[in-house]
Amino acid sequence: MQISPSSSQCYRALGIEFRSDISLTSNQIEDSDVDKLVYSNMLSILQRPISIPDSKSCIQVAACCWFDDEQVWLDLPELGRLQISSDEVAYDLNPEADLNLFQVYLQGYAFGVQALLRHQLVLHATTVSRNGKAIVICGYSGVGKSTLATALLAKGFSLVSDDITVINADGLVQPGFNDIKVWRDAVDELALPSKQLQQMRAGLEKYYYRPDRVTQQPVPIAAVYVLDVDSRVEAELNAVQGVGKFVQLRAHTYCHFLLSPLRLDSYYFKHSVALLGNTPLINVNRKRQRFTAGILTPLADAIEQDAQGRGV
Amino acid sequence: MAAGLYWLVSYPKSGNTWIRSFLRALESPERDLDINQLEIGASAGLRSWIEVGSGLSLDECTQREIELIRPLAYKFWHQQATRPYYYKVHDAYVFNDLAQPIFPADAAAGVLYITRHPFDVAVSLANHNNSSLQQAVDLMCDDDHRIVRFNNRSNTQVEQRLLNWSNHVASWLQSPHHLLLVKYEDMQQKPQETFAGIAEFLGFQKSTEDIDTALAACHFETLKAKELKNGFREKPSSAGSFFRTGKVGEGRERLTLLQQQQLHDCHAEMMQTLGYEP
Repeated sequence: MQISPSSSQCYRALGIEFRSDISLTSNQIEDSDVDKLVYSNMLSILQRPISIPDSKSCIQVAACCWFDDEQVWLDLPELGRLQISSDEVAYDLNPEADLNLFQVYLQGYAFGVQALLRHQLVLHATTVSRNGKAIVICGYSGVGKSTLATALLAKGFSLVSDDITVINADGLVQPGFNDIKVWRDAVDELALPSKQLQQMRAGLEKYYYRPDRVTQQPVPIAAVYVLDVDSRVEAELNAVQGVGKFVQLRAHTYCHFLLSPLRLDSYYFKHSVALLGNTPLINVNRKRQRFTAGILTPLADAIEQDAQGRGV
Repeated sequence: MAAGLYWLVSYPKSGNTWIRSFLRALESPERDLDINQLEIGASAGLRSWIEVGSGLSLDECTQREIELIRPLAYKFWHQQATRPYYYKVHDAYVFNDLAQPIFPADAAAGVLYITRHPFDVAVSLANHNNSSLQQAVDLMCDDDHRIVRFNNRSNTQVEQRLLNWSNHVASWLQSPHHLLLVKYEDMQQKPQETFAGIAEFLGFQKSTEDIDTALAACHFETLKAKELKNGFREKPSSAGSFFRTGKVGEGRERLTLLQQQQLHDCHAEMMQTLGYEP
């Protein structure tokens, strides 16, 4: 990864255009289109010194995270700091920082929080689509969202957004970056071609996988699936009804601990009512064991079949 | 009641789930005890809990980096707590790459340490892991034993370093934590007295009747029956059943003399300290 402020590039992802002096993995806007951009409307990603304000001017919301009414600060151990607002993402790198990890934070966390600040509905979810309809796969960290989504990509789905799903006011999922992050075991189980893989960090067997099919347009949602681990049942899908849908969606909202402090509850409520009023939410259980092809395939089959029934 | 985090610490298969069930029954006696929704004693190794406490993502972090973040998250949760919270811990009291304890003593209201005769732990561990008894015995003698090993695949928990059985016990007993040591055998053989002590240490002000009611609700046979009827979501898929016999002394019946000798040779000093000598 290169960092050179003189060569800032323009990108488009998650519903916004932005100019960055730090290289991102994908979604760079073609030079021929750059002239058409309105720079004043763009989000800036730039390097400058950042200090965390004292406790009188901001509130600590987690060990490494602070906020005031308009912005969020992150202090990343051994990496540096991020300051995120609705029109700017500033970064301040430590000299020894692992730039690859910082890039992951920038493309993931920073954009997720930034979308919250733009009053979007943001889910901790991977979204894939087929026939112009999206299915959103939510789940807690490490439950296997990306692995399951990658199995669906092999069944003809296309990638909309990995790990962070930004839903706009019209209920459409905004296309994210063009890669999906997969662990080595998923690479092996799904026999992903090596030419489409790039290791994310030295010492970490996790890869950016660039799938053949990537969706570039916002997509309406056909269903939300919530992946969970439960050893009692085989691959099992259960539609959730009533208020339970809201409980589940809230639990899988990206950085949900920021919603109340940032006074985003009313926006969140409005968006989630609009979304869940028309969209089914389905619990998907998988067993507490390694995600081998033997476990993954029936689960992906079950979701595909369910999604087919919903016109996907 | 002291506000803050209480760690319910044990080597696996030493009675932690029993304690969690007891606390749940003690806290809300009016509600039926559902082992699949204990709502108390969730794992301190849960990724999502560490992520929310730190405000960071662990997704692309190495094991070393995760161990740097864990104490920060626990300190934050402890400082924020306005009442007692109880979390299950299987880690040994170990230090990260910056020589900071993963579980800092100033980030906990107390540690309940549960220990069980290593022979019985071995039998239960073999069932849990769906392994041979010998494999379980070897694990308990492995000073680099880890669970949820960081092995390049997704997991809802972070890797936890256990050390070998006696070093697990020693690490916590020698830690600067405010600690109560409880033996599984005492939980079985003198439950009223033992569980009353546990409740008091963990900040519950309950009567003898309350303790008895909670004990009845989480009687081993009751938990076993609940698992038979509705399953137990925390059980590994490969294991037969989670609540099996809970018997004291089963290790002596099931382990070979050689296996008993191996455990004894490895853990003689700690077994003697805890009164587990023949």
